[in-house]
Amino acid sequence: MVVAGLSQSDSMHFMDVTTSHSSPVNSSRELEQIYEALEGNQEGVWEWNVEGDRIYLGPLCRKILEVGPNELPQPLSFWERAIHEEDRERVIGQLRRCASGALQKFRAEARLKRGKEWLWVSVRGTAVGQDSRQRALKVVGMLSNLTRQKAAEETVADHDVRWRDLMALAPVGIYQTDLNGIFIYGNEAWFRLTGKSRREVLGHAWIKEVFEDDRERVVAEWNACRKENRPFNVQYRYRGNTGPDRWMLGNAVALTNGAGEKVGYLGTIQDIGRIRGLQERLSNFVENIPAGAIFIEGETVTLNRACEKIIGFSREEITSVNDWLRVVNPQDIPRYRKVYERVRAGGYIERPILPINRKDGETRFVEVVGVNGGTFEIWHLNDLTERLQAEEKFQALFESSSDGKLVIEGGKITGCNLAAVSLIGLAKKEDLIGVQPLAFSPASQPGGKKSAEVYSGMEEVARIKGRSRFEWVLLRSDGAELPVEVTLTSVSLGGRPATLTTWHDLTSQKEAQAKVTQSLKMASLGEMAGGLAHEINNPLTIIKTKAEQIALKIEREKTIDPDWLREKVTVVDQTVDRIAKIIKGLKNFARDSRFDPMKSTDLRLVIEDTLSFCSARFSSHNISLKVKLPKLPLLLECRSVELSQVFLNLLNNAFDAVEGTSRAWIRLEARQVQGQVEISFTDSGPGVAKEHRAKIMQPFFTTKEVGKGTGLGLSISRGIVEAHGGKLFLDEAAASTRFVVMLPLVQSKNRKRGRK
Amino acid sequence: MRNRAGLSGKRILIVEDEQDLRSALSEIFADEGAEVEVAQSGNQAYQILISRPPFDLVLSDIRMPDGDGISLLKQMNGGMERLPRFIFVSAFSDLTLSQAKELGAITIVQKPFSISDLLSVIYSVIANEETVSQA
Repeated sequence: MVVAGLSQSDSMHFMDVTTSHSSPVNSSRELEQIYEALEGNQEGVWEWNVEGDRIYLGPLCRKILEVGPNELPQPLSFWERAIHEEDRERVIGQLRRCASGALQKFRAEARLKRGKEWLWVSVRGTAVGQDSRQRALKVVGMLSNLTRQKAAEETVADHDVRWRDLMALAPVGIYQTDLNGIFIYGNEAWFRLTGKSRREVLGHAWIKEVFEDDRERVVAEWNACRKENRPFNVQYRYRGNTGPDRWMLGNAVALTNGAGEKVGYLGTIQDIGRIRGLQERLSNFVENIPAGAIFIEGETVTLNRACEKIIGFSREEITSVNDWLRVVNPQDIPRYRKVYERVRAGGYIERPILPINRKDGETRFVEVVGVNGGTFEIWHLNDLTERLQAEEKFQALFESSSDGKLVIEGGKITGCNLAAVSLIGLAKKEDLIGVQPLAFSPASQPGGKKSAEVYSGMEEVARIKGRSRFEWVLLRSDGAELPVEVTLTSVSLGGRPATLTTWHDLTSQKEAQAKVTQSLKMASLGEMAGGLAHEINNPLTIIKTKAEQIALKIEREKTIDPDWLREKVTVVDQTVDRIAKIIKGLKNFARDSRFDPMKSTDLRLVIEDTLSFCSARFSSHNISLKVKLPKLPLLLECRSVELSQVFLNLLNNAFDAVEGTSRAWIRLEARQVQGQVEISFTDSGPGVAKEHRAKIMQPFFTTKEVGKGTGLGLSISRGIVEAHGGKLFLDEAAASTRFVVMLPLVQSKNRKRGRK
Repeated sequence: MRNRAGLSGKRILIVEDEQDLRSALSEIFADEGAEVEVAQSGNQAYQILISRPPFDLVLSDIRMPDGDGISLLKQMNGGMERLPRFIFVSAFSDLTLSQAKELGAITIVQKPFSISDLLSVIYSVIANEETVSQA
């Protein structure tokens, strides 16, 4: 028995088959051994006896197909049924064609049912022998189990699909070049990101797609990476076909085959246009912000433009942490180190203000804020030198002012200067801090209005208009009242509303004003001198005449009728009283009334007192002076002498206006209008010219001839009336010249009491 | 002191707004024998001068409501044929003696005056008149 060609061929040729019908079980132990020898451990041997239609299986074959050692060989139809119907015809067909002599060899893969499972098998067969009709006697072949391999292949196929999906869906552009950089593959993202078409790039040098300006840099890095055998990681732009060039981050690695030889490159690109734009804007921003910024990465230091300005060194001069020490005073190093360590540790609490030595030797003071960025730090330098100087100046201004200055927040004093402390008569600022400003005012202001009401009204004005200014009386700690001008200015301090308050001491101004008022009073008395002389000489004449009459009587008649004498003496007595009253009125009027307290007074008495020494002037100049007063008292809180001065001034003005005119008259009328009293002075004069109306209350404005008027009368009168909480104005609606004084009456307390 | 009837037959008009003074003067001149008329204002005085003439002397205050002494004299100058002698009585230097004389007054008597001084002025004025008329 010769078995030939087994070693050189994958087909088997049984050259001598002695017994075609013998059962392998019975007939040939030898054959079994041949099978076993042929099979090895991968492929089983089988043999189809065509004529007898039996298929014999070698031991391994039986093992693969799970055929027991005692099972008889089966006809082809048996196995035909076991083959998967999709594979059946293909395998059986080939087998039959081999048998019929139409085919010498075949090879097929098919699924075979084994128990409940399907088995992938590879079957090869060769026609052996030939009968007279050219038909094969046998078909002999090999069979191997492909199940595991098929499973692996299926897995591979699955991978393939997944790989393609991955490539297609990856947001990152992936490309491959050969060793020469010729583009051989790009995924969808690559084409989308670069905007190129396959036709444009496939087979072309990859570098051509890089933007010209970046190309040199990219090539240099590429070569360096190749030389140093490290991955490529560069930001560059792709040439845009349409639209702008696109910034990409490119990574690439060398591809090697199984033998470790370089075969090409595999690269990725990511669109960093947005990040890049952001970075550019950010660095632009950092470069241009007015605050100094230092970027510290390891030992490397980068300065922005503002920082260069602050320290006077250029960024080329300061490139390391050590360089930075050039701007630091040696004694300040520990402070800088503290900041440095704090920032390093990631924490930051205070913002120290540290000195910096500029290149030109000047010292600047900067506020330092550090930010820990992980691998880097940013120090932010805020040059506060000017602000500190300004603050010093502001502080100096604030403190040097002779006016009291206060900052009021949330209704309480939060800051003040020493002038404010001394105006109030206290010892230190702490005595004012935290206190409400009204604590330093009396309960009511001149004119009787409640301090709290007036003050809150003025605060409201300041809130609406930004500023309010008004005269005020403060209460010093020693109990004395201090006249001041208060200015309230609404501001925002650190985003919170605050009121800046100024107390301007009016004492000297008030004194000066009082002096002017006093001299003006004298001047108005002077104007009346003639009337006064008349007023006094007349009663003196009466007294003198009566006295002489008595003397004559005694001389001539030696006896005197008591009734006659009584009558004369009574006249003398009354006339002396009359003179005394005038003198008293004059004395009262002329004296310094500045420090008179406000007293509850009947306005009618004030008017009568005034008239007592001035009415003669009108009667003697043939001017009709009619006075109309109500029957009930008009009580007001006032300095009666001051009001008397106002009335005299208005009467004198009326006198000047009507003097020398025919049928001259003046009317003085007082009447109650709600809670006020209206005192009007009407005269028959020509009136106030329209162009003068706005000016008549201004100081030093006068239409009287030189030497006659001071031009202060009305302005001072108005000041007095306003200090009493009233108003003085020209009633422009009236037909004749009519000046009106409105004064607040003492509130209803008294009236109520009166009703009870 | 002169005779108590030294002014008898003389008609004198006293113009004075002060009631007490007016009555005192009236009494004094009556004591001297004069026939005295009184007025409390210039306007009233002029009415009396016109309605009850003739008067030998007018003694007038200057400052008065409802017609002062100066206006009265001016009015008399303009409206009367025979002017009585006119003496101003003044409580204040409202006008000078020369101004008064220019207006036609004989003199000004300043308040406060004494009765004897006033009477001596008046007697001299009357005496002058008599001298003049006798002459």
